[in-house]
Amino acid sequence: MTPGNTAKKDNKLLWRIHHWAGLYCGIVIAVLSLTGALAVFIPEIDLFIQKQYYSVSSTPSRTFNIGKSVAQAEKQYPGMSGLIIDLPEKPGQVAGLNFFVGGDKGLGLQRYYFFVDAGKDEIVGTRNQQNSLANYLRQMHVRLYDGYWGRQLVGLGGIALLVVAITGLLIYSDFMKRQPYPKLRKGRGLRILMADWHKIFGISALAFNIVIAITGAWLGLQPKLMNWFNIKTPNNFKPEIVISPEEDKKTTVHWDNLLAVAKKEFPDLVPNGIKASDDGSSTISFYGNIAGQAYERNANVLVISKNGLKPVFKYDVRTAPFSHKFYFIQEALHFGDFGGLGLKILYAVLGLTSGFLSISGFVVYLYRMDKKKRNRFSPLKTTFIYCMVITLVLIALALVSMFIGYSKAALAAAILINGTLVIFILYSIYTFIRKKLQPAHSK
Amino acid sequence: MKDFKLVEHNLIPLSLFALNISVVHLLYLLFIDNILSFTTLLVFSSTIVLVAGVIRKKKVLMIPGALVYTIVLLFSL
Repeated sequence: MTPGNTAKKDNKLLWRIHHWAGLYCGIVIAVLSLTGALAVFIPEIDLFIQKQYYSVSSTPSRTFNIGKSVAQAEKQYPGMSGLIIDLPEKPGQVAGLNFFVGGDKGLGLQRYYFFVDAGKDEIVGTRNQQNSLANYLRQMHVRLYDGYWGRQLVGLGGIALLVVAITGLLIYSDFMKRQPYPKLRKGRGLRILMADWHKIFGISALAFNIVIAITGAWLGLQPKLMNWFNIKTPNNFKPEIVISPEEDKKTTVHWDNLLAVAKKEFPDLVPNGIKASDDGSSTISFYGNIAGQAYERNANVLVISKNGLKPVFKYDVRTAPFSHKFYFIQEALHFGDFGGLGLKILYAVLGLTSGFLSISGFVVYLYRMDKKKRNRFSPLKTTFIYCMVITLVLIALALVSMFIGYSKAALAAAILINGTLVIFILYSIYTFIRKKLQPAHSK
Repeated sequence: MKDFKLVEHNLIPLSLFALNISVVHLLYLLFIDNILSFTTLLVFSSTIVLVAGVIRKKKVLMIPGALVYTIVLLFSL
């Protein structure tokens, strides 16, 4: 075999991998692309909803006041546990009290979320956090709204995107031949036009899609990989149990003093959340970011004891080893929340390219199939119907999630995703067996 | 033809690859108020050179642009 023939055979194999990986995983990539482009703006969308729908805001104040509101919530819900206080990122934004009530041994827990005017120290509203649009966008992008193996499917989608991106690069020159970038071959039909756009978008956003694919695959498969390879979360800290859980719950703290101690012990920390212990460790944990650092949100931690307000644990990503920094950079690189609104817009635009590539690749595939066997609908019509059905399903799930409830939407999504997967696998087995059983002359 | 292949099949993909990263890097540097730093200047210059290289399809712009940016990126890590 001549070297030319070997190269041709290799390219054919690469093209087949690109083709089949794109065809089978294109739908997941397209859904993740659309939800990802929206998920980038979750904080902005949530803030907009808070202002417009719930009409909540904080009165300007030099200090952060939350003590009375926490006490009021504790009085109203004596059995509350797992209190997390969300701190406002900018002046005028509300703080949030996030906690659970009831449930024996973790069963039947009810989650509560209160908005707090951190200037006046007043509870100004409430909402079901699980049914919010922000939670829908996050859950749909992170686990396709399927709690069982949705996250792993997303991780596999990331691997598929990596495979199509790398094979796409390797076959790029073979497909471009004498065609200069970014020239479109006009007047040669929609298949050629779509193929040209596919190549232009694919090569223009290649590095971005590779980064998204690698980080997405890691984030999706993270729980399994961490379990298999015994990887520990770098900032994880388990404080010593010093009192009974009941005593711990009853221990009150002066929030102003606590914030002052946190500021003194970790001056660069911009806290986003405060967690009060109720397991007997008698601690308050601060989670937050350091301005200008491109790491996962809330990667920096400061733990202070409730008694004596002494620091117990401090985790500063800046001083952590390279492996920790590498661990914490994945989510930031995936969601692009380290460069302001400008970077988020760029991420959304580049993020949509993988969705466009899935659709344009599908159109090209349908045109090729249409040549062999004429279908009832034109390739463009078929693609449009598929896109509309998927969009309507996503909108329907969002509406169910927001107005009926998260659990109902999650159940519907699980049935839909797992049902589609089962039908798809059974159909593939059926067509495979049918082809094998077909007499040779009729093939 | 050899030159066409080098530019179209190798240097343009390489420049676009570098451009993806350099634009994100530049927006990050501008966001953290690092406007007047030497790194920002280098990232900005290499981004402009890469864009010009892709538009004009000039090897003399694409190769140094990608090289300078790679060095800046490695030093920024």
